[in-house]
Amino acid sequence: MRIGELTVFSSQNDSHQKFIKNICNKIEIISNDICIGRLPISGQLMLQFYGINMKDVNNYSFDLLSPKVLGYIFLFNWDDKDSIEPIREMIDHLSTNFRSPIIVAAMVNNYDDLSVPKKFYEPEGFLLDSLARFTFCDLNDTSALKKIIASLINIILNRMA
Amino acid sequence: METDILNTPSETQKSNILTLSQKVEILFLLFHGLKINHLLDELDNSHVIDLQKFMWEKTVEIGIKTLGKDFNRDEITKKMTPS
Repeated sequence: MRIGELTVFSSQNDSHQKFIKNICNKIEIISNDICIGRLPISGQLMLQFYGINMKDVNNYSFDLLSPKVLGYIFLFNWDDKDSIEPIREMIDHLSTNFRSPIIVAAMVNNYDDLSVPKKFYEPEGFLLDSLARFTFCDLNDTSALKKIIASLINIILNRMA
Repeated sequence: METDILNTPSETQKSNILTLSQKVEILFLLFHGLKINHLLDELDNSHVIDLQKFMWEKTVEIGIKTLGKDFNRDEITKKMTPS
Protein backbone atom coordinates (compact mmCIF):
# COMPACT_ATOMS: atom_id res chain seq x y z
CA MET A 1 0.00 0.00 0.00
CA ARG A 2 1.42 3.34 -1.08
CA ILE A 3 0.57 6.29 1.15
CA GLY A 4 0.52 9.92 0.09
CA GLU A 5 0.66 12.37 2.96
CA LEU A 6 -1.02 15.74 3.03
CA THR A 7 -1.18 18.26 5.86
CA VAL A 8 -4.13 20.49 6.67
CA PHE A 9 -3.55 23.59 8.76
CA SER A 10 -6.28 25.69 10.25
CA SER A 11 -6.04 29.01 11.96
CA GLN A 12 -9.10 28.38 14.03
CA ASN A 13 -10.16 25.73 16.45
CA ASP A 14 -11.18 22.45 14.84
CA SER A 15 -11.60 23.40 11.20
CA HIS A 16 -8.80 21.03 10.19
CA GLN A 17 -10.55 18.21 12.03
CA LYS A 18 -13.82 18.93 10.30
CA PHE A 19 -12.09 19.04 6.92
CA ILE A 20 -10.44 15.67 7.46
CA LYS A 21 -13.51 14.08 8.97
CA ASN A 22 -15.68 15.13 6.02
CA ILE A 23 -13.12 13.90 3.48
CA CYS A 24 -12.21 10.67 5.22
CA ASN A 25 -15.54 9.92 6.91
CA LYS A 26 -13.74 9.45 10.19
CA ILE A 27 -10.66 10.55 12.05
CA GLU A 28 -8.34 7.66 12.83
CA ILE A 29 -6.24 9.32 15.49
CA ILE A 30 -6.88 12.44 17.44
CA SER A 31 -4.83 14.06 20.14
CA ASN A 32 -4.52 17.52 21.60
CA ASP A 33 -2.48 18.90 18.75
CA ILE A 34 -2.84 16.60 15.73
CA CYS A 35 -5.44 14.47 14.04
CA ILE A 36 -5.00 11.88 11.29
CA GLY A 37 -7.43 10.68 8.69
CA ARG A 38 -7.04 8.14 5.93
CA LEU A 39 -8.70 8.13 2.53
CA PRO A 40 -8.27 4.91 0.53
CA ILE A 41 -8.05 5.63 -3.18
CA SER A 42 -7.67 2.04 -4.27
CA GLY A 43 -6.35 -1.23 -2.93
CA GLN A 44 -2.82 0.04 -3.56
CA LEU A 45 -3.02 3.76 -2.79
CA MET A 46 -4.15 5.78 0.20
CA LEU A 47 -4.03 9.43 1.16
CA GLN A 48 -3.21 10.18 4.77
CA PHE A 49 -4.15 13.58 6.16
CA TYR A 50 -2.51 15.27 9.11
CA GLY A 51 -4.56 18.02 10.67
CA ILE A 52 -2.79 20.66 12.73
CA ASN A 53 -3.99 23.80 14.44
CA MET A 54 -1.61 26.67 13.85
CA LYS A 55 -1.26 27.31 17.56
CA ASP A 56 0.47 23.93 17.84
CA VAL A 57 2.75 24.30 14.87
CA ASN A 58 5.91 24.94 16.85
CA ASN A 59 5.72 21.39 18.19
CA TYR A 60 6.78 19.97 14.85
CA SER A 61 9.98 20.06 12.87
CA PHE A 62 8.74 20.86 9.40
CA ASP A 63 12.25 20.87 8.03
CA LEU A 64 12.23 17.12 8.56
CA LEU A 65 8.59 16.52 7.66
CA SER A 66 8.32 18.64 4.53
CA PRO A 67 10.25 16.37 2.14
CA LYS A 68 7.75 13.60 2.91
CA VAL A 69 4.56 15.62 2.61
CA LEU A 70 3.06 15.91 -0.86
CA GLY A 71 1.33 19.18 -0.20
CA TYR A 72 -0.42 21.48 2.23
CA ILE A 73 -3.87 22.91 2.68
CA PHE A 74 -4.38 26.06 4.71
CA LEU A 75 -7.82 27.01 6.02
CA PHE A 76 -8.91 30.39 7.29
CA ASN A 77 -12.21 32.17 7.89
CA TRP A 78 -13.26 34.33 4.94
CA ASP A 79 -15.23 36.61 7.26
CA ASP A 80 -12.32 37.26 9.57
CA LYS A 81 -9.20 38.97 8.21
CA ASP A 82 -7.40 38.28 11.48
CA SER A 83 -7.64 34.56 10.77
CA ILE A 84 -5.09 34.98 7.98
CA GLU A 85 -2.36 36.07 10.39
CA PRO A 86 -1.75 32.71 12.11
CA ILE A 87 -1.13 30.96 8.79
CA ARG A 88 0.92 33.63 7.02
CA GLU A 89 4.34 32.70 8.30
CA MET A 90 3.90 28.99 7.64
CA ILE A 91 2.56 29.58 4.13
CA ASP A 92 5.59 31.68 3.27
CA HIS A 93 8.02 29.34 5.03
CA LEU A 94 6.81 26.24 3.17
CA SER A 95 6.47 27.92 -0.19
CA THR A 96 9.81 29.70 -0.03
CA ASN A 97 12.05 27.11 1.61
CA PHE A 98 10.53 23.90 0.32
CA ARG A 99 8.60 24.90 -2.79
CA SER A 100 5.71 22.85 -1.47
CA PRO A 101 2.41 22.61 -3.35
CA ILE A 102 -0.14 24.66 -1.40
CA ILE A 103 -3.86 25.31 -1.48
CA VAL A 104 -5.15 28.23 0.60
CA ALA A 105 -8.88 27.83 1.15
CA ALA A 106 -11.11 30.49 2.62
CA MET A 107 -13.92 28.89 4.58
CA VAL A 108 -17.41 30.20 3.93
CA ASN A 109 -20.76 29.23 5.40
CA ASN A 110 -22.85 29.97 2.35
CA TYR A 111 -21.67 30.32 -1.23
CA ASP A 112 -24.65 32.55 -1.96
CA ASP A 113 -23.32 35.16 0.46
CA LEU A 114 -19.98 35.17 -1.28
CA SER A 115 -19.31 38.23 -3.45
CA VAL A 116 -17.06 36.11 -5.67
CA PRO A 117 -19.02 34.11 -8.27
CA LYS A 118 -18.11 30.43 -8.48
CA LYS A 119 -17.04 30.71 -12.09
CA PHE A 120 -14.25 33.00 -10.90
CA TYR A 121 -12.55 30.42 -8.77
CA GLU A 122 -13.74 27.05 -9.97
CA PRO A 123 -12.50 24.50 -10.75
CA GLU A 124 -9.00 25.04 -9.46
CA GLY A 125 -9.06 28.41 -7.74
CA PHE A 126 -6.94 31.46 -8.34
CA LEU A 127 -3.32 31.02 -9.26
CA LEU A 128 -0.94 32.34 -6.61
CA ASP A 129 2.11 30.87 -8.27
CA SER A 130 2.95 27.72 -10.19
CA LEU A 131 2.65 25.63 -7.02
CA ALA A 132 -0.12 27.39 -5.14
CA ARG A 133 -3.81 28.16 -5.54
CA PHE A 134 -6.39 30.15 -3.62
CA THR A 135 -9.98 29.00 -3.41
CA PHE A 136 -13.08 28.88 -1.25
CA CYS A 137 -14.81 26.05 0.54
CA ASP A 138 -17.73 25.21 2.75
CA LEU A 139 -16.53 22.53 5.17
CA ASN A 140 -19.96 20.90 4.94
CA ASP A 141 -19.65 20.56 1.17
CA THR A 142 -17.74 17.33 0.67
CA SER A 143 -17.59 17.77 -3.10
CA ALA A 144 -15.85 21.12 -2.63
CA LEU A 145 -13.33 19.54 -0.27
CA LYS A 146 -12.63 16.80 -2.80
CA LYS A 147 -12.07 19.43 -5.48
CA ILE A 148 -9.44 20.98 -3.23
CA ILE A 149 -7.70 17.63 -2.92
CA ALA A 150 -7.88 17.12 -6.68
CA SER A 151 -6.51 20.60 -7.29
CA LEU A 152 -3.57 19.92 -4.97
CA ILE A 153 -2.86 16.62 -6.72
CA ASN A 154 -2.95 18.40 -10.09
CA ILE A 155 -0.36 20.89 -8.86
CA ILE A 156 1.86 18.00 -7.81
CA LEU A 157 1.41 16.24 -11.14
CA ASN A 158 2.07 19.42 -13.13
CA ARG A 159 5.29 19.89 -11.23
CA MET A 160 6.37 16.44 -12.30
CA ALA A 161 5.53 17.06 -15.93
CA MET B 1 -5.59 35.50 -24.52
CA GLU B 2 -3.97 32.16 -24.03
CA THR B 3 -5.51 29.95 -21.40
CA ASP B 4 -2.03 28.80 -20.46
CA ILE B 5 -1.79 31.84 -18.23
CA LEU B 6 -4.05 30.02 -15.85
CA ASN B 7 -1.46 27.35 -15.25
CA THR B 8 1.96 28.59 -16.29
CA PRO B 9 2.55 32.31 -15.98
CA SER B 10 4.98 33.67 -18.55
CA GLU B 11 8.31 35.00 -17.42
CA THR B 12 7.23 38.58 -18.07
CA GLN B 13 3.93 38.19 -16.30
CA LYS B 14 4.52 36.09 -13.21
CA SER B 15 4.89 37.94 -9.96
CA ASN B 16 7.37 36.23 -7.70
CA ILE B 17 8.52 38.95 -5.30
CA LEU B 18 5.35 39.16 -3.29
CA THR B 19 5.04 36.32 -0.83
CA LEU B 20 2.15 33.90 -1.04
CA SER B 21 0.63 35.33 2.12
CA GLN B 22 0.78 38.83 0.68
CA LYS B 23 -1.02 37.60 -2.42
CA VAL B 24 -3.68 35.97 -0.24
CA GLU B 25 -4.12 39.23 1.65
CA ILE B 26 -4.44 41.17 -1.60
CA LEU B 27 -7.16 38.84 -2.83
CA PHE B 28 -8.93 39.15 0.51
CA LEU B 29 -8.87 42.93 0.38
CA LEU B 30 -9.96 43.10 -3.26
CA PHE B 31 -12.89 40.73 -2.92
CA HIS B 32 -14.04 42.38 0.29
CA GLY B 33 -13.89 45.77 -1.39
CA LEU B 34 -11.32 47.02 1.07
CA LYS B 35 -8.56 49.49 0.36
CA ILE B 36 -5.01 48.33 -0.21
CA ASN B 37 -3.42 51.68 0.68
CA HIS B 38 -1.80 50.28 3.82
CA LEU B 39 -0.13 47.60 1.69
CA LEU B 40 1.27 50.20 -0.68
CA ASP B 41 2.73 52.07 2.27
CA GLU B 42 4.44 48.92 3.53
CA LEU B 43 5.95 47.84 0.22
CA ASP B 44 9.07 49.08 -1.50
CA ASN B 45 9.07 50.01 -5.19
CA SER B 46 9.85 46.55 -6.52
CA HIS B 47 7.06 45.05 -4.45
CA VAL B 48 4.60 47.69 -5.62
CA ILE B 49 5.47 46.83 -9.21
CA ASP B 50 4.96 43.19 -8.36
CA LEU B 51 1.63 44.00 -6.74
CA GLN B 52 0.54 45.74 -9.93
CA LYS B 53 1.59 42.71 -11.98
CA PHE B 54 -0.28 40.38 -9.66
CA MET B 55 -3.46 42.43 -9.83
CA TRP B 56 -3.22 42.55 -13.61
CA GLU B 57 -2.74 38.78 -13.73
CA LYS B 58 -5.81 38.19 -11.55
CA THR B 59 -7.90 40.57 -13.63
CA VAL B 60 -6.90 38.71 -16.78
CA GLU B 61 -7.50 35.38 -15.08
CA ILE B 62 -11.01 36.40 -14.06
CA GLY B 63 -11.67 37.79 -17.52
CA ILE B 64 -10.66 34.55 -19.19
CA LYS B 65 -12.73 32.47 -16.80
CA THR B 66 -15.82 34.58 -17.38
CA LEU B 67 -15.53 35.54 -21.06
CA GLY B 68 -13.32 32.78 -22.38
CA LYS B 69 -11.77 33.32 -25.79
CA ASP B 70 -13.82 36.48 -26.31
CA PHE B 71 -11.89 38.22 -23.59
CA ASN B 72 -9.36 40.83 -24.69
CA ARG B 73 -7.25 43.58 -23.16
CA ASP B 74 -9.82 46.29 -23.93
CA GLU B 75 -12.22 44.70 -21.48
CA ILE B 76 -9.86 45.79 -18.72
CA THR B 77 -8.41 49.02 -20.07
CA LYS B 78 -11.70 50.60 -21.16
CA LYS B 79 -12.70 50.91 -17.51
CA MET B 80 -9.41 52.31 -16.33
CA THR B 81 -9.07 55.95 -15.36
CA PRO B 82 -5.74 57.74 -15.60
CA SER B 83 -4.06 58.48 -12.29
